[in-house]
Amino acid sequence: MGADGEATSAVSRPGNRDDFDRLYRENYPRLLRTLYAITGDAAAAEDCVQEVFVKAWRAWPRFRPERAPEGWLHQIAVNTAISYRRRAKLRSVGEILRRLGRPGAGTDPGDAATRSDVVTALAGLPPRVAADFVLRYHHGYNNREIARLEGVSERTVGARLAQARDELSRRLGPGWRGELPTSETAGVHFPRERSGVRDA
Amino acid sequence: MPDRELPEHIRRQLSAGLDGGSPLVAPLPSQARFAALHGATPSPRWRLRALTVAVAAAGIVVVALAGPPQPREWVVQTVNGISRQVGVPAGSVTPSPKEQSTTSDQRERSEPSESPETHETPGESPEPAQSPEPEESPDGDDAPQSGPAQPQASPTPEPSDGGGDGGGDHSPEPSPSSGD
Repeated sequence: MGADGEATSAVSRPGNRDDFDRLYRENYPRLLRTLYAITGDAAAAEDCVQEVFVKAWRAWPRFRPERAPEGWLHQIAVNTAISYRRRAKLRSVGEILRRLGRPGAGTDPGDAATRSDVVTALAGLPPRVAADFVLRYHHGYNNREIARLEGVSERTVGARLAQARDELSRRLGPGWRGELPTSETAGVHFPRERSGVRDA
Repeated sequence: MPDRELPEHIRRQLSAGLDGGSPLVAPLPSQARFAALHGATPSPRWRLRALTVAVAAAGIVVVALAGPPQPREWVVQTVNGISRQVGVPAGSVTPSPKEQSTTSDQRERSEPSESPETHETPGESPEPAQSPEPEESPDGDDAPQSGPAQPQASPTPEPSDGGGDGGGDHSPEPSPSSGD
């Protein structure tokens, strides 16, 4: 168990404030990193996480206990990030139109300084692809757990991960393409930061 | 199919990139944005709004279907009444054919005595028995029938000079006086 979260073995009772606070504490770091990878902006990621929990709190009385709350929050987070990126794209188009005929201001140097190449490359990926990549290679989920978390097939998860590796290897170097597990590395168990995913 | 794994130094780059830009410690739940909504139970207000909109829409539909069939009929009636008083033929004020037929039907039903006035041409009158009366008056048999018209015509020839200067051409009444 890593620093990201604790085990969510307790039952989540819909509408219960204490259970929701526990979900907030356990899932905030993981969602923050996932959203940071999707948005590429730390402040936007924090804003999106807060928005995620506002949406989740509004829907909390209707939450179905048989569902894994981590997956529920993850889907809200990805949808929120998609909405954010759509709004950001519209804002950037409006900004380009507004600045037509004026000398270009370029990107914000402060933002560029705090943004690593890795995050920039991740933010260029489709949101669900970036989210799966972070879940797989940063939070330590395997493909089956990601598929269960998102309600998609393992084949879909595998295709998204392959797309992410190809794209990142083009931008960041061939090392990001990954390597097939050998007999020695196949048994290596990477530490997982994520909390337990309940069977659906 | 075995999935590819990232090398260890790539994983460290990934972790460093993701951990670098954002604080890892979550704010307290009491400081989170959703805590502001805690006082208000997450009751869906959109249900009340949707119910209001649905009731309003249903009311509009009911009024549209079960209301008066021709809400502007009073306009047509008023215009026709004014045109009748002024003397303008009713045909010059032509509403839609549907309204015209309904108003003419209502006019015939409500005002049967006024229909001959509007139709001034003899051929279109619904009661042709009245129109040939003036033509049959010279026969003398119908003179008592046209009695109401006689008192108006008779006083004028009596105080006259009785010369009979062609006045007998008009009516049969002056004929006995002119014979004197």
